[in-house]
Amino acid sequence: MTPEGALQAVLAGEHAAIYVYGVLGAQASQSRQPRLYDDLTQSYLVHRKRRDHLTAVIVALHGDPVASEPAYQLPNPASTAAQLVSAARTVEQRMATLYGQLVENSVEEQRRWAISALDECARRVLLFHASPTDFPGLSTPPS
Amino acid sequence: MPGEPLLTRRGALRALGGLGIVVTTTLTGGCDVRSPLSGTPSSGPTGPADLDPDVRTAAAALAAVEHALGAVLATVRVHPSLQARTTGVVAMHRAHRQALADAVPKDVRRASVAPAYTVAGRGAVAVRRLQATELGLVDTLNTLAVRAESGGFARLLASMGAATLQRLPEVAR
Repeated sequence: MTPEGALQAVLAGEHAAIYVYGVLGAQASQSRQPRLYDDLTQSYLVHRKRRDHLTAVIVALHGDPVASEPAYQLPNPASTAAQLVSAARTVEQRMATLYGQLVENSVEEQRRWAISALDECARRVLLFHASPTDFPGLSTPPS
Repeated sequence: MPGEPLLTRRGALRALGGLGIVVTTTLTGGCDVRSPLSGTPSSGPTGPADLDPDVRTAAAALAAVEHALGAVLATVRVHPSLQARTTGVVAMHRAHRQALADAVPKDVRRASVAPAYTVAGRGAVAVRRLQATELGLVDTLNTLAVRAESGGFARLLASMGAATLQRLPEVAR
C-alpha cells in the first residue's frame, strides 16, 4: 500500500466513523443515558477532528481527499443501549486497524500522529466495554 | 569476533505468526526498507554498531518489555494482593516478549542489563511506581515505533504501546 493510499483509507474510515457516531448520538438520550451520550458525543468530535487533519494532509500532498459516502451501513440496528455500545466498539476497533496500517505506511511526524491516533482508539474502545487486547491495531496478531 | 547470524526469515515469520513483516514502501524514496525480521543471513555483527538499526530497536524494545515485566512480577512478590489485577498485564508483557525475542540475537540480549527495580513497601506507592513504569514503557515503545525503519515493525511496536496503555486502568484499580 502506498503512503497516500493508507491516508485515503483511514480518511474513508473516518467518514464512516463520523456517520455512525452521528446516528448513535441521535439514538442516545442525554437525560437517561448521560454517560453514554457524553462518550458518543466526544467520540464524534474526536473523529471529526481527525478527519479534518487527514483531509489537510492529503491536500498538502497534492492529493484529492476521498469524499464521504451519502450513507453507511451501521454495524447493528442501533436501537438499544447495548447495540449503541457495541456499534461504537466496532468503530473504534476498525479505526485502530486502519491507524495501524497508517503507522506502517508513514514516517516521522505522520507516523507519530498515526501512533497517537492508534493510542486514542485503544483507549476509547474501553469506554465501550471492550476488553484490552495484546496487539490492538494489527490485522493479524503474531502467534 | 563473529556474532550469530541474523534470525532466519522462517523463524521471524513463525515468531510473528506469518504477519509477513518484511518490506514496506516509505514516503522518503519508495524503496523497500530492510527489516530485522526478514532474516537476511549475514556474516554476523561484530558489535552493536554493526547491527541492523531495526535489530537495535528490537533489542531496546525487548529490554524495555522485560524490565516492565520484571517490575510487575517483583511488585506482586512483595504485594501478593496485587496479583489478581496484574494477571492481564503480565500475560500481555509475555506475549510482547515472545513477539520480539526471536528478532534479537542472543549475544545482543545478554549484553543489555536491565536496571534493578525497587518495590515500595507500601502498596499504594508500589502501585504508583508500577503505573509510572508502564507509562514509561508506552513512551519507549512509541518512540521506538517512530524510529523503526521497517513499517511493519513500527506497526508492531505501536500496537504494543497501545496495548500497554489499555492495561493501565487495571493496574491503577
